[in-house]
Amino acid sequence: MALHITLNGRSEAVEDGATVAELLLSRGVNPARVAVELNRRILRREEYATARLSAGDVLEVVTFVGGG
Amino acid sequence: MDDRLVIAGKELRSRLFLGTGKYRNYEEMHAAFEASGAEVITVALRRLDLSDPNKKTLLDEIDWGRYTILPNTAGCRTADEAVRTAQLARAMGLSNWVKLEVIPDAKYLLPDPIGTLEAAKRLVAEGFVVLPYINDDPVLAKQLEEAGCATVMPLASPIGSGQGMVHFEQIKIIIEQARVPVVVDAGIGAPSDAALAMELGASACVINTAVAQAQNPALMAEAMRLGIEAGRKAFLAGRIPKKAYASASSPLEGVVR
Repeated sequence: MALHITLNGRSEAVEDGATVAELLLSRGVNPARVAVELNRRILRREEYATARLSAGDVLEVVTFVGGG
Repeated sequence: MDDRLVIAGKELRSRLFLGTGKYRNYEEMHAAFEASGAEVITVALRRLDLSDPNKKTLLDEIDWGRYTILPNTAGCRTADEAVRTAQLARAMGLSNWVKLEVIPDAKYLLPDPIGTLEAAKRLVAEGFVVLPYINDDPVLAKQLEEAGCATVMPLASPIGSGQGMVHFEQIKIIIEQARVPVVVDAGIGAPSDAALAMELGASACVINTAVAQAQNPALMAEAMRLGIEAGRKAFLAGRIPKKAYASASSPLEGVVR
């Protein structure tokens, strides 16, 4: 079963009941290299494994890039 | 001579803060970092590119344990956006420093003083080490200092413009009145600009475009390091005053006529 969330501004289908950690893993994202905000709340890294996604969730996965 | 710069309890030997943006490739960036001797580097915070999960990120490319990472809030147009970005940057787990930028206008990239002060107060209250980017406004600089900012960072001229120390006179006033380090940030184009900032008494300079976009970034990074060192030593050495008239350097007596 898939549900739809907004991930980095784009609508994406994810597995129903997937955790943030599982989503990151499935996308090849190293959790140590990102910060995550779920519905405008910044998650601590310890929460990735237990934070379950629901339909309509808004997820931001960010990292450091070059800048002045 | 022990002339260390201390910001929020961190002792720094280098007074060159280097940006990580706009390098043509990582090789040039690494070479510039090595040549610069920089200990503080700025980074931006952006959405991860999910289309290519194997693409290396900046953190994969740099030995970030070697540096004090100074995340910026570039791209933020309001205080709310800047606070949110700073919080996300801190959640990366590498730094609680923030180079606070609240910039509503894309053409000149000038900072919003009111949004900057508001965001600074909120971030200081949340325990951030705040380094606010401002225009050459001595009154605002004092307000930010009193709000608990670790430094103030007046711009020499617009970001990436390479115009140098256009704001010379007002930056002098800010330096005179500040009790926190004054870091000149934005618009430096050549080592002489950085040296001038340091001769005035600035504590450090932030440089990005002038190094990253130079024809030879590593050589320019070295030149900037030398310029900043020269300017700092000149400041400590105490220069002669400028005079309207001449004053002979050789004795006036005993001239053979």
